[in-house]
Amino acid sequence: MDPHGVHEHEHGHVVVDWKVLVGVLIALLFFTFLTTTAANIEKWIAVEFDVVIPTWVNVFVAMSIAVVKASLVCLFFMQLFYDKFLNSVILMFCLLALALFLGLSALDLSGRGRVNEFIATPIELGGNGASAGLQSAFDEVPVVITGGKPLAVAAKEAYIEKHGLEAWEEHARELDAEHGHHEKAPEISSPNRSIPRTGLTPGLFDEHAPIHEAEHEPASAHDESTEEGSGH
Amino acid sequence: MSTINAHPSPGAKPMRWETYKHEHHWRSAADEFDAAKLGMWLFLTTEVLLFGGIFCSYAIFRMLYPDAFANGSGYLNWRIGTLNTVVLLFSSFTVAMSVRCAQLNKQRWLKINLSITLICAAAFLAIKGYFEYYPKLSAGKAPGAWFSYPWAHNPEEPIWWGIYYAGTGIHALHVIIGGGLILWVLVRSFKGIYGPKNYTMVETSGLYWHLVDLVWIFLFPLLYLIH
Amino acid sequence: MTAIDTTHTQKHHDEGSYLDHRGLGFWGTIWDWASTVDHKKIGVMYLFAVLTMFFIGGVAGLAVRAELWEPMRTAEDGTTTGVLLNFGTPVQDPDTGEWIRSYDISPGQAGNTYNRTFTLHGAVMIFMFIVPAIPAALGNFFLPIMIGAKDVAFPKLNLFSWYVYVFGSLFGVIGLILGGADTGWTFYTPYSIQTDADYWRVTLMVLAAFILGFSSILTGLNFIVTTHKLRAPGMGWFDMPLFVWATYATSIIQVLATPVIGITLLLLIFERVFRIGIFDASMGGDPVLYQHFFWFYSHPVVYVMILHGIGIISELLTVHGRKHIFGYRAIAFSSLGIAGVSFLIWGHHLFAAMSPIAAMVFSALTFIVAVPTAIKVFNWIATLYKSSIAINTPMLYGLGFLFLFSIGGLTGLPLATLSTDLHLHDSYFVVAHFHYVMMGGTVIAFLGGLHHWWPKMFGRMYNEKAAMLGFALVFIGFNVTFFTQFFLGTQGMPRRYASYVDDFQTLHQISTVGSWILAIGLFIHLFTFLHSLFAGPKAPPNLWGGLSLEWEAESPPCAHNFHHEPLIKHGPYDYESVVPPHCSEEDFPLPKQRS
Repeated sequence: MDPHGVHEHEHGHVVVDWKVLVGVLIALLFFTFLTTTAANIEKWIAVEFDVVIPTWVNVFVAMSIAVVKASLVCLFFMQLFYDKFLNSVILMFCLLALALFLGLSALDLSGRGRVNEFIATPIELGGNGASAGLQSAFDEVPVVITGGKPLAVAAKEAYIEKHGLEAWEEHARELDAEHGHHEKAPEISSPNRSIPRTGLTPGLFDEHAPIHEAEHEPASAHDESTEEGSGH
Repeated sequence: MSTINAHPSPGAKPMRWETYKHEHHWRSAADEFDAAKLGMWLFLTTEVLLFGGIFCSYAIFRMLYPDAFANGSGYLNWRIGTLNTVVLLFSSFTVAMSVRCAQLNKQRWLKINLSITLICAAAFLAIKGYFEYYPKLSAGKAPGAWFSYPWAHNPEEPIWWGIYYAGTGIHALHVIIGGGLILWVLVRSFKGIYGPKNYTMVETSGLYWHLVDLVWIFLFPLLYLIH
Repeated sequence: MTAIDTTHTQKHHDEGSYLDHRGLGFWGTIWDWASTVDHKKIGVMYLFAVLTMFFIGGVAGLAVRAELWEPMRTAEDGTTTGVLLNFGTPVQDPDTGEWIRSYDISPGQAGNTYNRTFTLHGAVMIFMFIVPAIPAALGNFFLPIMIGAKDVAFPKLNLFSWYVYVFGSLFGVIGLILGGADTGWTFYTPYSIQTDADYWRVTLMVLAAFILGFSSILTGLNFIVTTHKLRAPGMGWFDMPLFVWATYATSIIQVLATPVIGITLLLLIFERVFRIGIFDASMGGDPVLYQHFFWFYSHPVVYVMILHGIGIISELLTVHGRKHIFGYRAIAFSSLGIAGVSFLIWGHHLFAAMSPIAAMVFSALTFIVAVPTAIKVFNWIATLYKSSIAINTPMLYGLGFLFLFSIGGLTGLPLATLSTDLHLHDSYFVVAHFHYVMMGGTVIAFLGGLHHWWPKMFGRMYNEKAAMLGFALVFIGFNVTFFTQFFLGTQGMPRRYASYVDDFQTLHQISTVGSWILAIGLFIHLFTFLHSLFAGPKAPPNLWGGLSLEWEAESPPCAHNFHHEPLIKHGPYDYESVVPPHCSEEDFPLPKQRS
C-alpha cells in the first residue's frame, strides 16, 4: 500500500485512502473537543481565580484551532494536498483579499476618535432608535417608537411598564443565577475608541473633560453622561 | 475496503457513466474535469469572500463593543453549537467518502454516503431551527426592529444579534443550497450517471459542501466560544 | 486596404456563419438565440443589451445636464424657477389624508427628481452598462477565438449568466418605473436606509445590483478557466494577444471583488427590511463601515472597467500602426499588477470620513497604482514611435484614448493627495476625473474596439467617413462637457447639487452644450452601425491586416470559430515578419527594416 495513503486510479485521478479520511475526521473531532474545552477552562479560570483573561488570548486559541481544522478539511477532504497547486493558489489569493479587507477596515475603525475629538455631542451607545420608528415596505416589520433611547433600553422599559419593576428585577436575578456572569467586565464599549487611550502627554486630553468644554454649552444630558463616564 | 467492481460482466447493459462523452469543445475528459474543479474553486473563493463581509463586520463590532459581544456569546448554548459542528464535520466526511465511492464504482455506498450527508444537513437545520432560533425568537432575542428582550446587558446588544442572525442565516441558506446540490447528485446517481469515468458533479458538489463546513468551523468559535 | 466585396447579395452573405438562420423561420430563430450556448451569440446579445442600457443611462445624463442649465432661484414671493425635471413628490392631503402627487416646488423638494435622475444615470451606467460592456460583449465574443478555442470553458454557465444579467436588469427597471431611488448610485447609509422607507424601490434597485453581481462573477469565472485550459496547442501564456491578458486580469478582479458588494448590498437590504443596525448609527452601527464595504468592491471594479479597455487599446495601436507592441511582458504583468494593487486602495474614496492614520496609508498606497498604469502608457507611445499609423476610426479612438485617459489618470493625483483632496472631495473635480477615466477611457476604448471588430463580428463594413465624423463630435463634445467641470470643481461646485450660485452658470451651460455635441456624435455612430447591418458592404476576413487568431477566422466566424484546429505559427504582433492571413503582400507590404 502506498505509504501516503493514496493510489493512482487508471485515469490519473487520485483516490484518497479511506484510512486517511477517517483519520482526518477523528482529528477534526478531537480539535473540536479541544477548542470547546479550552473555552470552558478559560471561563472556569476567570470565575475561580477572579482574574480577567485578556480577550486576545481567547481569540488566539480559538482561531488557531479553527485554522488547523480548516486546513485539514481543505488539504484532505477537499484534496488540495493531492491536487494541482493552482487550486491552492486561488484559495491563498482569496484569503489575502479577505485579510486586506479586514485589516485595512480595522485600521480605520480602530483609530477613529484617536486624534480628532470633533464630535459635538456624544453619541449614546446603541443609538437613539430613530430608524426603528420608520414605516417599512413590509407590513410585518414593527414600528418601534423608542423616544430617543436605544432599542434594548426601550424594550426593557416597555416590559417594566407592562409588568412592573419587581417582575423585571426578579427575572433578572433568575437569569444571573443561571448564567453566573462574573463581576469583572472586560473593556468598556465606546463608539469612538476601542482600546484604552494612553498617549504621550497624559492630561492633555481628558475624555471626561474635553479641552473645549468652555466653548461648549453642555446640555444636561451631556453632564449626566460625563458623570457616568460611559459612552463618551 | 471491499472489492472494486470497476468492470461489469460482459453482456450487461453498460451504466451511463461508462458511455460518458466529454463536451466537444474540450480536447479530453481530463481537461474537462480539471476545468470543472478549477471553476468550482473560483466559485468557492467568491463564497468565502461573501462570508468575509460577515466576518469583517463581526471583527469590527467586536473591536468597538467588546463587552456587548462578550455578553452576547453568553446567550448561546455551546453544547448545541458543538453538536452542530460534529454533525457538519461528519457530513463532510461522508461527502468525501462518496467521491471516493464514485471513483471506485461502489454505487451502493455512493448513494448511502450521499443520503447520510443529506440527513446530516437536515439535522443541522433542525437543531438550529428548533433548539436555537425558535426559543430565541420567542424570547425576543430577534434581529433588528423585532428585538424586544428586556434583560439585555448592553444597549448595543441588538447589533450582536443582528450579526448573529445574518451570519447564521446566510450560512443556513448555504446549507440548504448545498443540500439541494447533494440531493440532485443523489437522484442522478440512481440513474447510474456517476462512476470512475464521470464523477465531476459529485466532486464539485462535495467541494461546495466542504465550504459550508469550513464557514461553520470559523463561525462556531467566533459566535459561541469567545467571551 | 483590400477591396471590399460588394458583389455578394445580402441573402447569401451569412451562409455558414454563426449568424446563419436559414431554414429556422421566425420563431425558430428566436428560440435559437434564446437557447444558444455559442459564445458569439451570447456576446452579441450582451452587446445589444449594454448598448440599450448605455442609451437609457445617456438620456438620464443628458437630463441631468439639462437641469443644470439654469440654477434654481427662489423669488421673493417664494416661487422657485429653474426647475426642469419635476415628477412630483407624494404628499398627504391634509384634509382627506390620502396620498396625492404634488408638483409644488418647495426648497426642500426642488431637487427630488434631480436626485432620482442622477441616481438612475449612475446606477444604470455602472451596473448595467460599463461593468459588463467590454467583458461580456467583446470578451465573450473574442476570448475563445483569440486563443484558438471553440467556445468558453462553461458554455451553459455563459448562457445562465446572460439570463442572470437580464433578470437583474429587470429588477432595476421595475425599481425605476416605480420611481427610482434618490440615494446616488453608491447607496450611502444612513440615507439609503431612511429614504423612501415604506417603498420597495430602493430595495429593488439594490437587489438588481446584487443579482447583476452574480452575472459578473460567473462571466469572470468562465474566462479564467477558459484562459487556463482552452488555449490551442502551441499557444503559451506569452503568445496570447494582450486583450486576453487584460481579460484575465479583469476576471480575477471580478471574481475576488464582486462577492463583497454582494454581501454589502445583502446587508443593506437587511438594514432596510429588518433594521439590524450594522450601518445605522441610530441603531448602534457605523455608517462609514458601509462605505468601506462598498468601496472594497467599487474601487477594484473601476479597474475591471479600465483594464479591459486597456487590452483593446493594445490591439488597436498595434494593428492600425502595423507594429509590434513595445514591451509585451511589461504590459502583461502590469495588467496583473493593476489588478493586485486595486485591492489595496479603496479608502481613497472616503478620505474625508476616515481616521488620519488609515487615510495616510491609503493615500500612499494609491500613488502606487499610477506606476503600472504609466508603464502601459509609455509602452504604447513607444509602440506608436516609427509605426505606420493608418488614419481610420479605430486608430483615432486609440489615439484619443491615450490623450483622455492620461488626463483622467493625472487628475487622480490631486485626489489621491490628502491635502488637496479635502478641497476637491465631492466636487465637480471628482466628477470630471471619473468621467475622463470611465468615459474618456473605457467608453472610448469600447467604441474603438467596436469599430475595430464590427466587420469581424457581423461581416459588414460601416461608412468610414461617417464614423470619423462621429469620432470627431464625440471627442470634441466629451472634452467640452467634462474639461469645464475640472474648473467648476476647483472653484467649489459640489457634486449632486441640483442648483448652484449664479457665478457657475456659464461653465455649466458650456458643459451642457458639450453634452449635446457628444450625444450627436454617439447618435451618428448608432446610425452608422445600424446602417451597416442592413445595407453595408460585405467585409473581407482581414481588412485591417491583423495577426491575432480572430483575423484568421471568417467574417463573421463560422459556428465553431475555425474549420480546423488553428496552428500557431507566429506571435500576435509579428508585423515585421509575417504577412497577415487572408491578405496579399501588395496590400500589406512588410515594413522596411526599422532601427
